[in-house]
Amino acid sequence: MFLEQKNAHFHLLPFFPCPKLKIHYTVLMKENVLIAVSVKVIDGAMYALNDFLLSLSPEGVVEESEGKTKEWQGECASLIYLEMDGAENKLKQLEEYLLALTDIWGKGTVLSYEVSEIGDEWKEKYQHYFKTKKVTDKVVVSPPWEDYRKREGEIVIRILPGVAFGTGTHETTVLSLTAIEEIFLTGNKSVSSILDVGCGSGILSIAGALLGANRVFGVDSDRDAVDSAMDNVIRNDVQDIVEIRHESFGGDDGMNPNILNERFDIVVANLSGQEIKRVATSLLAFTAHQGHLILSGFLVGEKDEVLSAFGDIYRFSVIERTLGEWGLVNLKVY
Amino acid sequence: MAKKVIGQIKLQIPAGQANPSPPVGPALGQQGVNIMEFCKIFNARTAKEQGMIIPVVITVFADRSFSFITKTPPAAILLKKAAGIDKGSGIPNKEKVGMVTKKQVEEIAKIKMEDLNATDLENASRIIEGTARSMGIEIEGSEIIADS
Repeated sequence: MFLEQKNAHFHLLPFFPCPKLKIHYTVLMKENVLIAVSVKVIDGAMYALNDFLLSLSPEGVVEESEGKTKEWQGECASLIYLEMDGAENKLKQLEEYLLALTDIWGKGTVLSYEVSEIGDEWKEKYQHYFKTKKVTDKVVVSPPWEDYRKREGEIVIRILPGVAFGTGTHETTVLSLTAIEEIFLTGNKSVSSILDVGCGSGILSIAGALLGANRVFGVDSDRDAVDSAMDNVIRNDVQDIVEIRHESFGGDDGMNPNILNERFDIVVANLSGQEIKRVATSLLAFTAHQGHLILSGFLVGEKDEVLSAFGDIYRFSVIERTLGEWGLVNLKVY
Repeated sequence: MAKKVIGQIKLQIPAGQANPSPPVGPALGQQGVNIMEFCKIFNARTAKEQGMIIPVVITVFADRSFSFITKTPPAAILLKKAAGIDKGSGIPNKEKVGMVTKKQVEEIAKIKMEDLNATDLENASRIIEGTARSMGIEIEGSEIIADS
């Protein structure tokens, strides 16, 4: 019922335990941990509670169903995640709010209130469902724990994505891999360098290296993605060819001084429609004369809007592909 | 053949901004759902609604594939809009922060009818009224509930 004080650095919160509420704490008092705050109230107060929780956690609220598989109504616990740093004040506000709700709705309004620490298991758990998949004619993506035997003509990429985009299963990854593969398979010997913008797990960079590029740069603004990509590059033994950098691509001036001053034979950007539009100028600036600019990650319906960010489209030869609701364009830049 | 459903996840998250950090990462990761795939498609579908909170219901299948639907904005957000306020009250029993009319309550009840646990419009309106009270928003023309 009380906070378990394991670390003298953190002090007991003065307003605990709140006598009017049923509170259960299992949080060990450590810094830099994430805590899950779960609150269940009666139906009438739930929508307002969720709104209050959103004010504490603007990133979002989860409604937990306790294992029900049909769409449920009511009877939900609402859950937010808070960084331990700053949680004290937020929990205090929450408890004041719950007392106010109890005052309005009567005794028994708050059905449960739990605070617990969460670990990193979720980062690993979802990965267990990955399976080896043949993604294109040549490329097979396989998780490191599966012992996939390569068949003749295949390229096998071992990917542990961590918390990064690019597992090989998503349509836009398939479209991008296919587009890169097509360029190499047409036997174009002049293609040797690739810039992979928003490289995520590094899947496209690694594929490029295994398909024949001499030099590949993968950049991502997300630290977790960069770590994951670096691990995957080593896992596939292409570290002599692929360099991964932690970069925020496309600043206000549309360029990025930290990326080498060169143009690439292939620039691939599997981002989102909005992101592609934002960095369009930079993408063009890094694409070599006669080079390919491969854009994906947008919905088919967004294609014209995405292309409009590249100015006069007649400057390019355009190849379009779609898979499900997702689109890809390959612009050959003259 | 219909795929076997193993669970559902309900979230209220900002449009176009889903990413693998909490709450999306832990909520989906614990169910074995590919977090990044969800983020990518959710962000693409809601890109035009930036700034809104979107309720989303994700259905998880036995093979850990998923589908999701988005719903109309939460009742509380519609109430704040109707009352012209940014934030509900942190102490709604004592501090009132806005007012809505009965008609506005009914309009919101109509919009949210299918998402609410309500049998008819009257019942739905009562849920919206209760939500308003719990946010420190008064209903015009209603009996004022005295603080005890």
